Amino acid sequence: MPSGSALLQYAISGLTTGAVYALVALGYNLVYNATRVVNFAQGDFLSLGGLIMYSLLAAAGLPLVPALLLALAGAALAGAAVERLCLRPAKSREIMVLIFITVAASILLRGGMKHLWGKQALALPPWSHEVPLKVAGAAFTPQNLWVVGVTLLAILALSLFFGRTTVGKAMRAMAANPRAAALMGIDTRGLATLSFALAGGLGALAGVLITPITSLSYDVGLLMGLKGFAAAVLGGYGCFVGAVAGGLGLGLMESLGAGLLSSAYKDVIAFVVLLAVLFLRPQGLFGSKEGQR
Amino acid sequence: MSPSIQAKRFMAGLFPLAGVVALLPLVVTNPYYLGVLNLTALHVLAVTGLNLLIGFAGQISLGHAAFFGLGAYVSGILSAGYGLPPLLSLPIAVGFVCLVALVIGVPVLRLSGNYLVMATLGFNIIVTVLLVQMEDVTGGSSGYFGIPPLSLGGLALDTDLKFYWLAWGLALLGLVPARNLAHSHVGRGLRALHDSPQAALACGVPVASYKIRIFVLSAGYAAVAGALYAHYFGIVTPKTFDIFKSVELVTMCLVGGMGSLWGGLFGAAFLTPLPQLLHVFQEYQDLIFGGVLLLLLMFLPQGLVGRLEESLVRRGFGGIRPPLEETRGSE
Amino acid sequence: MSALLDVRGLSISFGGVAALDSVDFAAEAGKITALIGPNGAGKTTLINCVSGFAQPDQGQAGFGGCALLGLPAHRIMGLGLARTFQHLRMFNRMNVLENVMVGLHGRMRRGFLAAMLRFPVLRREERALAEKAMAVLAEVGLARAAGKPAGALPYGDQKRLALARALVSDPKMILLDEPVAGLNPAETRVMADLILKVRDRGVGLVLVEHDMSLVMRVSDTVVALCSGRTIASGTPAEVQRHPEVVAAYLGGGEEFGLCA
Ligand SMILES: Nc1ncnc2c1ncn2[C@@H]1O[C@H](COP(=O)(O)OP(=O)(O)O)[C@@H](O)[C@H]1O
Ligand SMILES: [Mg+2]
Repeated sequence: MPSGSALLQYAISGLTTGAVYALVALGYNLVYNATRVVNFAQGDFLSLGGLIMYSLLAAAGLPLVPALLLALAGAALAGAAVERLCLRPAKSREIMVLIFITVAASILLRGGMKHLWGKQALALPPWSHEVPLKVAGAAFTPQNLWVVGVTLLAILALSLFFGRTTVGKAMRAMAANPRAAALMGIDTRGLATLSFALAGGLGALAGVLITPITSLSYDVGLLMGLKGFAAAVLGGYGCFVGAVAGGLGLGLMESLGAGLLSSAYKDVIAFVVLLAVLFLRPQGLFGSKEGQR
Repeated sequence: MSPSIQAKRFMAGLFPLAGVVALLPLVVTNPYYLGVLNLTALHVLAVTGLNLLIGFAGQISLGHAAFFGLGAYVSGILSAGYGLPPLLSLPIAVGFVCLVALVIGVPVLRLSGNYLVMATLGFNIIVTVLLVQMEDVTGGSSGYFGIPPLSLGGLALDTDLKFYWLAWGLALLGLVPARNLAHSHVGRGLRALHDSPQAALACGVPVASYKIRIFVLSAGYAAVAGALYAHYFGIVTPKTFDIFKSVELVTMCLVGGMGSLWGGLFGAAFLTPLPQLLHVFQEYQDLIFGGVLLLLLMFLPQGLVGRLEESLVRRGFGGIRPPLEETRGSE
Repeated sequence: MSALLDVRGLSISFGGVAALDSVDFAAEAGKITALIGPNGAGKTTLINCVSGFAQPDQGQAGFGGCALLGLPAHRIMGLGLARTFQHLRMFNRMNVLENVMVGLHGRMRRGFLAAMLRFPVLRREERALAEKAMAVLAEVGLARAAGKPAGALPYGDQKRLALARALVSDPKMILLDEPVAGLNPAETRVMADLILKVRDRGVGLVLVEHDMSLVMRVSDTVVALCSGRTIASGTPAEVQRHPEVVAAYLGGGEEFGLCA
């Protein structure tokens, strides 16, 4: 039987990665709700954010906050570019083709990042000092706190955005019924671009938060992106609450699975649970069944 | 157009192609390029099955590399580890993979859209991790070595050229039952359930069972390709069968022309050698590959073969596609 | 003698809301039984339950003495009970002829293996299928559109194509969910004639419709549904005079208003 402090330790690291998965999952959902496309470049925004931040801090010597904001802006721009330059001019509207356009965009983005930043692992410094904190026998770094705290802030900001602002409400209307939204005069194309930009920003935020803990390279976002996708599916694709719950759930499951059962099989555990959930609830935990008429 | 005319057209395409395949080794003698051609043939096989699943039945699988890999590992391990002749280990491996596909397919194919994508992707990730972790059986991440080549009645297919004849023979032969299926009432039922599962049910198409059958069949194609792969290269590694391979296979379907069996063939024939050809660009390789793929998907969404056929039809030549594409433009 | 389609005490609820509440319904062979009621009354749900697309919580449904409930949808059509959909659900990637040929799918006895090996018998069957489908297309006036993509047809033609797809399997009964919704008067007349012609052949029809003049003109029996309950049934004239049905008309327009 593992000790309470060990469990706490697993929970802390699970919440940290889970928060990142949640951010990535929210990015998937934003794009999906606006365009019905699964954006396979989502994970690359994570790498991109971290890499831009690295260059601004290390090479340009910028302070943390401006570097952070510029990194988010850079990835948001990349997100908007994927929509404007790759998806919108595409001749086909078939979802399958659009999805694989994002796959191609992802290969392209990764190729670009590899070219600019090289293949080697880079070290992004943590946001504040590195002295570990101890609570009830479990150790964690301030960066863990940053990850969870900033993620909570981002979730709060997003829910205010969707609940209070006109643009946010328009995005919700578009998610519920794109055709009706377009008829009501909502600029659906503009919102599609915006959703990609926001997804880029969210991905980058995840990147600048987690890469000081993991490591940073041009393809670090690949696996994180897939986990974020899994989290979105687990929670119920397109569902805001589901993304957060799915992300945290997946993160906790992985870390507890790795700690209690086997670290080698942690991905297996996570995906087996995901499949099991889908078999029982094909629409995900919080997703609603689409009624057939 | 009657099915028999379609069939004749397909055959009319198959024979010239077989001719090209027969003549290629006269030009391509470099073993490295022969190797690429052989890999292409294996991709053609896998993509043919995948195309039936994705292009016809509309069920997306990003997990087919797992079937490819399981076919390779099972046949490889049975022959190298347990001394079974490859001619026996290969069908056993294919049968095993079909069984796995059945077990996975029953629950997974109840899902649709992104959920199906995720479930198949997840399955592939699980298989990859298992192949890495079950070191005692699979050799772990460094792979499984020493797999013997196939031999047919004493004739070992141990050279690139000998394997070439087998691989391409099977790749072309594999198109025939796929084509038959596509042009039959079963193919029609599969396309129907792609467009509207409800209406297909109301027409008497057993939707759930058709989805599972076509999933198993396509897994079988992938397994044959995988087992051949193992006996050709003699070594298999988990990385060869990860989700990127799955993405690659689906991309081949798309780039060639979804729902067109010829398209799958051309997609595989185009995308398999492309990275090798792009080697000369060195560090720009990924950029160029991604760019080419992006432009193709953006501006030739009907695929290479789809585009070719459209211009042929416009100039008064007949089409070489199954009926699916003859009614394109209806969306 | 009991009716061909015989539904007793059918109940189903979605998320706690009863869509059908102990509904009895019967439809006879060779007759047109109209099912009317305001939007959300449960008409489509009744059709869904009977055709295997929804699993009711309670009740029984028999078709020619065969219990329907629990049977998978694709088997039900094999019993001779076909249906159309309120929303067209065409096979848009196929041409018109192929759409109708899918309607005969239940007839085909051979599976994947036979199809992959291209058994000679399949070729004959395929030819027969195409001929039969062409004949039905001619009947609904779409023979000339046979090679066109189904999705490219005008809406009115697609509605008739949906009928053809149901009709081609020579069913004993067809459940028609709003066959003239969205059609102009001329198209409605053509559809009405078709429906009568099918009836005269001895095929039973269940007609879900909002177009009351059509319902009154062609129906043998009318059943009125409201909030998942049967509020009236009888001849068109009787149902039209029924106080609850009258009350359900707000302003007496073409369509039902809210329930009383
Ligand atoms: N699959 C479903 N999920 C949830 N509610 C449903 C579903 N199908 C029907 N309903 C509900 O059942 C009621 C009856 O619907 P329906 O049968 O479509 O009405 P009608 O066809 O008479 O207009 C409506 O309130 C509808 O919202
Ligand atoms: Mg209805």
